[in-house]
Amino acid sequence: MLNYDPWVQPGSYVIAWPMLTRQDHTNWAQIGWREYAYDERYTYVQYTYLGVAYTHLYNPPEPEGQFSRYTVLYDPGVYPNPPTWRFQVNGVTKKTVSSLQWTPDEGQIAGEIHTLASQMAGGTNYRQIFWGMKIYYSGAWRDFNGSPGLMDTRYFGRNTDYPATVGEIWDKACTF
Amino acid sequence: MHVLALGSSRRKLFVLTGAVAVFGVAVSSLLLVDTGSSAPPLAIDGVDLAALQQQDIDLKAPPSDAQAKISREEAAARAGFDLPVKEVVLSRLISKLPPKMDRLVWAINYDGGLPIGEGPAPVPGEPTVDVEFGPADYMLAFVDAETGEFLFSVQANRMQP
Repeated sequence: MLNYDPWVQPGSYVIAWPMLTRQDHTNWAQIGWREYAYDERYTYVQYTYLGVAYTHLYNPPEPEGQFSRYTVLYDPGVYPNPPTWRFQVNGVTKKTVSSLQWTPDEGQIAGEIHTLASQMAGGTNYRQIFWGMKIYYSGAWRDFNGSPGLMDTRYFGRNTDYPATVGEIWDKACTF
Repeated sequence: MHVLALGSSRRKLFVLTGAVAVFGVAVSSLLLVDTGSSAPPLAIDGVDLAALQQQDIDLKAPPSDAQAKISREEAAARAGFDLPVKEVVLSRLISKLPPKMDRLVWAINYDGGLPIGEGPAPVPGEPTVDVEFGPADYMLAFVDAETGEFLFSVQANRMQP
């Protein structure tokens, strides 16, 4: 996905990510870019384990304005080997954990803000692009052609005209 | 954390490109080997070292002859987080899974943490879970005590019922 450089309200942050989760949304595992105010950027990994969210930050981040391949891989393992989760950027493993005690059955790809004073990833003329969206299940990598999520259309846009492997989102209040 | 958002996770704002529900998400690969370690753990204020070990972040007391080449003050500066520092502890950091490491590090223990995120986006037809987090249980940053390289940070936030 594009490593977009949004405007971030001081005290808040903007993130964009792919995620594996469960349909009850009680657990998740994600990787992506994260920006705090004043251009403080990281690659981040977050996952849940026994009711605790663990967030890892890595520096330097991926280059702004360029594309990086962010991947969450779940390996169910074969006894006696435990399930394993790998979080990768461009095929390089940033983090591996084998302790998580849940099984994913849903994937999500999204941008996220926590105050409208921050910019959602993407502008009307320079969008947050998710290129090559794929999900692996039942023995094959497949296009990411699931249901669009709930979205406040007053503030945000989302392009659904593209193939299911390409997503675009943007903040309607921002051009770039 | 929510004081830094809009006051409630109900205000979280997502643009979700899509959600794909599947059964049996899987990739094949990986065999894991746990070689174990007998060195004693450190005590770091407020940090659940046993839980961190479950995350493949195994912190031990450094060898008795271990010597850092950078100061703890420089290590804290290289980590770069604008948070109050509680303590900086010389440690041996062992990770057995990729990226494997066994390094002498400064573990910088912060008072508080950063806002972290709120989990999955809502999807039509699926339950909406408003995830609430308590304040950070702890946040640690690791800086190589010999090279000064910032390795990563880890922060733990308990989900509220």
